[in-house]
Amino acid sequence: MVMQGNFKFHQYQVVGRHLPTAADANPTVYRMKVWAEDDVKAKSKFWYFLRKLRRVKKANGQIISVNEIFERKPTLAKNYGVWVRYQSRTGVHNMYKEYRDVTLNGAVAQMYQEMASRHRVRPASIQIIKTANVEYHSCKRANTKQFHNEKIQFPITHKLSRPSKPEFRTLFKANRPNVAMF
Amino acid sequence: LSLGCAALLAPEKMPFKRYVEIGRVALINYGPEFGKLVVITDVIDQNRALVDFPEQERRVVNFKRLALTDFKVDIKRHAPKKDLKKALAEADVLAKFKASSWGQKLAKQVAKSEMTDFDRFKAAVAKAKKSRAVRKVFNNLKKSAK
Repeated sequence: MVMQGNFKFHQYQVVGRHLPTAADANPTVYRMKVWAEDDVKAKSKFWYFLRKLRRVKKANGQIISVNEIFERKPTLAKNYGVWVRYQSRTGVHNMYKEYRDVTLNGAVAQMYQEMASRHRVRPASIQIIKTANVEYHSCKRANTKQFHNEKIQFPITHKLSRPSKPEFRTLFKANRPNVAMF
Repeated sequence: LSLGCAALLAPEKMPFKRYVEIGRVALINYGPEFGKLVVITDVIDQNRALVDFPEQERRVVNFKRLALTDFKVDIKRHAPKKDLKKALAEADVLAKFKASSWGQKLAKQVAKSEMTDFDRFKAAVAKAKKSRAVRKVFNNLKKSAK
């Protein structure tokens, strides 16, 4: 799909359970939505989290299915809320972040970028607790709310002068760039 | 969110004439879609817009790739293709853009790039003929001025 873009992190639905035993022939089936680079890592993450929540591990469990979750409406601008738990240099913290994007994968990619740039947190130290498509009236951040305007209007203040193709680049130019937009 | 400075930022007071807004017609000036006209149907954030046009998929484009034009159509946020087509036809944007100086320049560039060697020969002959005629009149004027 043209719209989806090239994302590093994908969303997977992993369904698994404890292996059936003599004591319990029908163990409870658990489903987790997990963010990983591929389905192999998704399964690994699934066991990592499930081990912390339930008395089951990969050795005595089984994965029933792994499915990638794709965006339903990749041409609709949405507000995404991401709840994150991360390890900083001095401790573990929770955060709630909001992003305007067209796909959840895109919003999560923005989150990883922002955490790395603002807090120097690498992806391995980040756990996504929850993600949600947040309604317009429930958004908390002024940065997202400023785009909730039917009559949004702003100028582009700075003209980007660049050749239309990299092969048209020249080392020297006759004139200084004109950056005025008016 | 109306602060005191909102009045100072009103479009009438700004030197900018072309705004990013829903319905603004823009030209893509970089990338594989270079040269395509699009209409902004929604603003995602300060860097990206959702962009649409008849016969094209609705997609995300960065403002760095967009050159805003003078034209704007009256559409609602995230308008369906049908409404977009109607609004564009009503405003007759394509024709107006082609008639504008920007559109004419683009057309000239296209015509020049599509010239064959014979066309270039014809152009050279016509240019020489014109300059000969101009020089003739100029020389006559020079002679009579002496």
